[in-house]
Amino acid sequence: MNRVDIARFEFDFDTTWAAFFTDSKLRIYSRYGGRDEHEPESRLSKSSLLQTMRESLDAHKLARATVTGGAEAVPPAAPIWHPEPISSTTPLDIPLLKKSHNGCVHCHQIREYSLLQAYHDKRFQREMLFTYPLPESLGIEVDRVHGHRVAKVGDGSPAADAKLSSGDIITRCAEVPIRSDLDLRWALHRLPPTSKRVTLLVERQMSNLGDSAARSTEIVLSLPNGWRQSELSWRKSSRSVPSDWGFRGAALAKFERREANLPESGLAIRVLSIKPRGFAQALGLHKGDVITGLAGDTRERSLDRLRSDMLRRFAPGDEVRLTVLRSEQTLELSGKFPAWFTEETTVP
Amino acid sequence: MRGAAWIAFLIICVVTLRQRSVAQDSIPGWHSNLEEARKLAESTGKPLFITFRCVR
Repeated sequence: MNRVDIARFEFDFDTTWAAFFTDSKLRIYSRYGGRDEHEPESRLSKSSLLQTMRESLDAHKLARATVTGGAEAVPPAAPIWHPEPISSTTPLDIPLLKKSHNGCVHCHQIREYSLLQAYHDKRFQREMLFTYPLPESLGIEVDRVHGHRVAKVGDGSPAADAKLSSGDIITRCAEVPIRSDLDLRWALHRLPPTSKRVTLLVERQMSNLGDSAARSTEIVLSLPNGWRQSELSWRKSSRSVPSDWGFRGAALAKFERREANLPESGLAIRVLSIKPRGFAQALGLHKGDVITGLAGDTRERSLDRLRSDMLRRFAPGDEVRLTVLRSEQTLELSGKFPAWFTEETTVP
Repeated sequence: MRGAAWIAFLIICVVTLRQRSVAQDSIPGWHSNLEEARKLAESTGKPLFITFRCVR
């Protein structure tokens, strides 16, 4: 990725594959790819890729007809291309990456160094961790076969409040034409942090007008607090979150649970080592402790998922409360969430 | 069908391992040099399908 223009070819750099459909000037018709905490390919399908290809080809034909003034030269109702970047940039424009990294730059390292640079520049905010928001956080479940058709609307969600319906095809989000699930996520990703609402254009089947009749409808969705947040444990870049957790640990196996008289399910993470002067030591955690609750939440999780939950719930200075089992005694430990800071200048 | 035609005519692939790039250059329609593919697209009027794949 060393010399790739990552302002133009911007995608979720924690993923291992992404595709772009462009014209010869590299103007983007659509982005395709993306993943979430489930299987790496769970948001992808052959049928949705073909759907995006068809729509990108249609957009390309329309663009060419508009330029050449042919018979089909009709100004399009929605933008044809994704918004252009203001300027180009490459991974080597990230000072810490340029200074510290040798050899090929992998996708995830772009994001890791971007975060590290933000910490060093003292402009890091927790929301920077939550890129490429999921439509599900607004109550939009996308049809994986199609790619940008609404399969289901969550009860009581912003999408339900805005009267989005299953079967609606999202064709624009803010100023971004939507031809795939990733287009929608990119459009949500690039909304300014202060955005309180977003406008979608949808194609809605009108049964009273016949089977093939569809009408374009504008839908305005409210964006509730924390709407960008999603599970982080799958993101390789989150390994570089530099808050000094100060401990290593591992979820207990079944036989270890039995030995510790713990139930078969529920949170159970054994602390394997403690680092001096870290968050864990400040909390009073000891080697051998078993963490069984985070602020009263006892759901079973891996250590990565526990870290992800802490990052989602707490900011520097917040009170963090852990329930631990130590020598058959249950203890409540509490302390302040550590500052976003690191002296590291490289990522692993 | 149009999807298949797309793959047949308009593909470039940007990969990070050199040997993979060489192998893909030998497949008709696939390129590992973006500028060459872009010029080809300009002369033929075809769109581009660009992929990024981490192969670590």
